[in-house]
Amino acid sequence: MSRREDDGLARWTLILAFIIAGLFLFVSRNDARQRQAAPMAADEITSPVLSILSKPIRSAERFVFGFQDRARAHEENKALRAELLELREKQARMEVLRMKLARYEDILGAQSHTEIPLEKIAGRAVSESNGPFVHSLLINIGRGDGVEVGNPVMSPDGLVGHVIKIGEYSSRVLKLQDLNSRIAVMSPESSNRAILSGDNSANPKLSYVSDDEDWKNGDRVITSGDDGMLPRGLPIGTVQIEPNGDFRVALTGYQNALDWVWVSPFRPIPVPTEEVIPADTLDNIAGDQ
Amino acid sequence: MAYLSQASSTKPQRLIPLILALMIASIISFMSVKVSNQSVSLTWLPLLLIAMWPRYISPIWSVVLCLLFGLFVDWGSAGAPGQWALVYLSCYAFLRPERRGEKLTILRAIFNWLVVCFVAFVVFSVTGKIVYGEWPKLNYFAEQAGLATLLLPVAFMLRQGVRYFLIDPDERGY
Repeated sequence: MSRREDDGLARWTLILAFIIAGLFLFVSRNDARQRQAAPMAADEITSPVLSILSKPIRSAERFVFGFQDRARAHEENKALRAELLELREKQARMEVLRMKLARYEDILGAQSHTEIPLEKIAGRAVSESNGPFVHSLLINIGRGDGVEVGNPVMSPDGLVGHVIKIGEYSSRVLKLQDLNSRIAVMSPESSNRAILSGDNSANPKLSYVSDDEDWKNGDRVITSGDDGMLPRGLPIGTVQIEPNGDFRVALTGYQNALDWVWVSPFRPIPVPTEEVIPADTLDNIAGDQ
Repeated sequence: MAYLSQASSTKPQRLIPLILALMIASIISFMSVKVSNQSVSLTWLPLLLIAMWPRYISPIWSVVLCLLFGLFVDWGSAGAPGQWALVYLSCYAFLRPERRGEKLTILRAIFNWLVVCFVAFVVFSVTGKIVYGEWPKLNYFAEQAGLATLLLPVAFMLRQGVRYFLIDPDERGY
């Protein structure tokens, strides 16, 4: 084949490749906005490899964090002792309250319970995507382990995100910082409600904040469960008020390197199905009136 | 666009080091490391390979590899399929073929890298705006370009080493 023919073929291959890539982008752009474009098969292939490769990196991170922890061990020890004393007192109060609550439940025949499932499915965060458009996480547990779409994913420090796609052995998690992430949240102290909206920055913002609600710097933020998708009470972070008046949340779930995470197999409240009332029943109701 | 001084055909075994390097760079780009409470990832690492693309790979193979690995990175990072593929292809196409045909010195590698950074910035921003409806934050590019630039000398030395051991001395010279 002559050089001229080679050049022509190379040029056409390049044009064809541009067209193929452009078509992929055009066809999948809506799915990409919903973070549903990437096939789970790709994650299923990369997950075992990344699982092995991430081990030394996580070990190195643990070593560095351990070193930092040891450096401030003395101050932390003091702070922890003070916190322990405070918690002991709180625990004694809680025991009394728990007994009172049980007594009231007996009297009223009511049942109060937490929505957070006791069962936890542990897995490793093997890959983290922190691009300018997508913030997601790949974990090495999937459908075979009991994970379902929508399940919350927690680190030891707080909520990390929720599962958006599952394969047999891996799952894709939408992080709280992602532009598509919207979580109903509340303050446990004041019961203020808001929506935690990711905007691809490190600290997501609180949207739909009512003017008569008084969020303060340092207020704890937990899931409210109002969206029916996540249980109430999962810790998320603390409020930070920006100089421009925006409310942002410093996430606690990302304080340390993400290594082990767990999935809470929470079943969301099912969407009510529209029941078709037979025409004769409607006629009867109308007749009665 | 004339593909001057480019190898017209490539022996399949010669593709192996490049494919391996692309795979390693892609997989590393999916990972992130926590450094002093900040998550750091090397998403732009595969672009270093585009900037230092081997001369002996034929343009057709090069285009096919850019497309395939671009799609692989898109899928692995849960991004929009085709976005990274377009970035890689644009970077490859933008580095003039006659430039790729010349011997790669460190200065040439730095120049190629600057071209790749500029093209990647433009294509990634425009495709991101089209797909996600918003412009990316500039600090992302600064961080990624900065991190990858730090690795440029290492990548250059690795390339020279691989070239020394894998390429015939006769072909290595020019």
